Amino acid sequence: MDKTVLNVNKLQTEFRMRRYTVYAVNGVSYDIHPGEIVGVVGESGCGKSVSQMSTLRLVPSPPAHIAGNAVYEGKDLVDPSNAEYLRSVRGGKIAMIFQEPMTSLNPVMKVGEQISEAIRLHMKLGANEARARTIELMKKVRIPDAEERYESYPHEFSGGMCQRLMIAMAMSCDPDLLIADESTTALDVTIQAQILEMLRDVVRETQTALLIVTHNLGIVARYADKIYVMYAGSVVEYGRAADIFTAPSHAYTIGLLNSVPRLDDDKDRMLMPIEGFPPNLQSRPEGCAFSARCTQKLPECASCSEFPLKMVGDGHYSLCINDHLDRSQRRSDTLFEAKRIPDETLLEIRGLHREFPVKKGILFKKTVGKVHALNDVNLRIRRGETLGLVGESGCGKTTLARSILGLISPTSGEILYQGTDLTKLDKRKTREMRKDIQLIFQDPFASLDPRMSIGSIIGEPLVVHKLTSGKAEYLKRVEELFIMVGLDPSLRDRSPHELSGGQRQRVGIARALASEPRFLVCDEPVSALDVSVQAQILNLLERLQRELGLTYLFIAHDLSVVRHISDTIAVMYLGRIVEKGDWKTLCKNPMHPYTRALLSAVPIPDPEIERTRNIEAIKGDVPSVSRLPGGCSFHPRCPYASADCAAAVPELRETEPGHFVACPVADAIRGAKSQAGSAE
Amino acid sequence: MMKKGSFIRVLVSRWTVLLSVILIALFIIAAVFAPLLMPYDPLAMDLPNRLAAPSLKHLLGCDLMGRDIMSRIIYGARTSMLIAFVSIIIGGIAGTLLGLVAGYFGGVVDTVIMRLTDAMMAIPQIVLALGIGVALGRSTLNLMIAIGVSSVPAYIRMMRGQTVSTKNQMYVLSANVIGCSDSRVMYRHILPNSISPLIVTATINLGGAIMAEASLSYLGLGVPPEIPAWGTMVSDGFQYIETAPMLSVIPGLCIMLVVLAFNIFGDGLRDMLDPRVRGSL
Repeated sequence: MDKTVLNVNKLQTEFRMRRYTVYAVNGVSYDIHPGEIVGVVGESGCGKSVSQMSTLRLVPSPPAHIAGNAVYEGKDLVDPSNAEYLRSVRGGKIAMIFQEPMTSLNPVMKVGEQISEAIRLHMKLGANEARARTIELMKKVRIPDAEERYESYPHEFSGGMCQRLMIAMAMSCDPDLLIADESTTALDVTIQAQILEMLRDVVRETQTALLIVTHNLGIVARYADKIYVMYAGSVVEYGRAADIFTAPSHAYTIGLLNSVPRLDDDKDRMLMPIEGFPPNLQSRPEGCAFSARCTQKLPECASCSEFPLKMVGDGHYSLCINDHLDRSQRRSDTLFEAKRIPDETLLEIRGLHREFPVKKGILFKKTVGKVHALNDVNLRIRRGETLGLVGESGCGKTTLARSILGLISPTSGEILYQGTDLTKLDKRKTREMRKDIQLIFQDPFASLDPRMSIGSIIGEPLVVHKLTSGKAEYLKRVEELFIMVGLDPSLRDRSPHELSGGQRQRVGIARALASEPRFLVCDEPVSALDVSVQAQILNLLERLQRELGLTYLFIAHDLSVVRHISDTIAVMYLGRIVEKGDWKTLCKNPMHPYTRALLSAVPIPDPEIERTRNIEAIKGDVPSVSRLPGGCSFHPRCPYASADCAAAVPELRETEPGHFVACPVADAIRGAKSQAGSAE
Repeated sequence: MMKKGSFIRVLVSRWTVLLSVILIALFIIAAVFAPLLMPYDPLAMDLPNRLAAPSLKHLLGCDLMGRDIMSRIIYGARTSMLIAFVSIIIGGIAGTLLGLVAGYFGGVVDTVIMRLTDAMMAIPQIVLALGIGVALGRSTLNLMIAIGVSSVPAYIRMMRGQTVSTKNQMYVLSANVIGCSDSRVMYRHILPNSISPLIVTATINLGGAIMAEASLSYLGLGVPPEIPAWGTMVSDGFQYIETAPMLSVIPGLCIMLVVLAFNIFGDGLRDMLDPRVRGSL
């Protein structure tokens, strides 16, 4: 057995507030070995981050009280008498990478100097040596032109690049352990894949241990060697990654796995969400903390006072006392009946362009350029179908959504809704049209007026469009809407901040449905939610579509979600549709290199599949739309680009019935792939 | 909205705020029930008692004409409070509406309103009030209008800023999406979410309005001379400051206390309405 880097034993963290105590971490133990990648997963509020912060005493104390120990190099970091030692270790030998790279860098300091400052502080090096080391580190995290970029300021870097800088800073003192706390959550999938691939290579090379804290099961499946599943402040199951995914042995782990949509799913699988919410931890849970939400609980689960860690396999432990867990993902009651979509156009977008002028100058603003947010977009949405729209951020997805809703007027082109051109409507008609076309927002908190009660938020469309006559009818309709989206009507008088994220998103959906629209634009409706809640909302949207005959335009950056819910998928890159087709052909047989990259960037929560997958990472970031590359705008990042790609903008052409691709080399790539496949 | 219990708790935990509330309450009671509380008619002259020293009969003594100072102070509270509240309501409502419209619509509307505001702000408040007072003539109502109008620019600026930042919130977009009219968006969504800093400012400005009223009355441009007002009392007594200091000192003290109380209360109110500060109280 080789030595452990960090050994955490029975860690407990309580926040003793004036009137209540939060038991955030309840006896967490784990150890990490050199060069090992460990994943910690669980929903938000399960104590994942707090337990990592507690080992380094990064939680404010008081109110926090930390017990247990975390041994690094024979010294207990949790022990207050070792505070001096902890300070020398923290940020040096044990380094952390946080979620928000943009706010972690000082905006008025050159990035190179920020990194070398950290190096000089910890390693006592001179200015020149520190500079050389910084450039070496920047090269290590694959920042192009490291020497020149040393002199740049943080705002000149993209989010992904800033995260690389943060990793370089964390790596600066040759740490033994790197803790990445949701460090790629805020990034696009493609960038996330780039960063994690790089991070894995770097830690493998330097034999650094890496601890990844995340809610994304796919990430741990792809990268982690060992996984700890946390719930309500405790580790409920841990073991090697392969064991956790092939033989999950805690009802919670099974619940999590069943609630996420997967790229390799069957289409008709209904997600099986974990109902309810994690406990608020203001009291120590009696019995199994998960029993309140568990569908496979035994009578003794809620009362049993002690749950010993039970060995279920080699190095695989679980707290669950149910030995006969059902792991199946498919049950007859969880399959949706297939939709029948008539060939009838509800909405058609023809040649839509939208340009934003770029202005410069303080006193006399001059237009110095144009940003092409939408560039010749053509789409057709049939009645009753779900059109999924994917792409990285900054690709014009939201601009398209807002154009349909009439919040932005396009520069040219038509949006035909049942034959009426929405772009030609006046203000009053547009308002009238909003009864029929509604929007579901990404952030369910920011989009609800904090000063209004839930009941009046949901009922507002009824008032605005005068859809009900009389108080009684209004109240009845509001109650119907509550029930329709699975909300308890007694929540009517609550304020938005008293609800959980999932409940708030239900409010958003009920509000959108109040005027009985036929077409819903869903702009990233689940990306701000936890996986189990995400599953609840996705199922709700599917059920509502079938019950009310709705048509969706579903915008998301997560292809596994889009694939799960959509009938047709359109892939957007820098304001253009680069590929579209029905979900099956597009996912089975992606033609455009960008689609291929997007698909392979999404990790599948199954280590077996991940091991055999060929990851087609793409280079670089999404370029700024104000400096569009000529020709095919994807060519600078495309691994297959030829000279022709830069010459002309490729047209969308039909490669097989209903499958359109805008790529001149798509056939060549496919040919090469199938040849390579047959050679094997 | 915060719970009532915690509001009172915050109030009690800060004794200066509590004291200011008590003081303001006392002055308001004096103003409302002035006719019942006054021991004498504040206008009744009693020449044998001119400049009488404080006694049991006249608690604060008598002025130049032998009028009871206590009664005049109480009636003066009524004058000051009435003018302060009404002028703040005039200024606050006008300023809030104009700021809301300017911030919400932007463009030409915004430019016109804001440039006019800039022009008004270039004139010192007291000079502006003075000018309006001279133009409209001397009456209590005109004084209220003068003080109210001179405070409008500050409200416009503040409300416009609030509106511009609230306008970009997602829930305002959401209101647009469901088809709310502009007036509904402004009235139901932006106004309730922008109003709290304005309430704080208005409270602090109540003190300012009392000062303005007193200053104008001192200059002889305030309320008509037959109505007892603190400013007039200070100015009347000023010539006798050496022989009978009480004549000016007592109304002056009242002005100071009320203004101070409104300022402290306004500060406390801001802390209580601000969730970031509220947590640490």
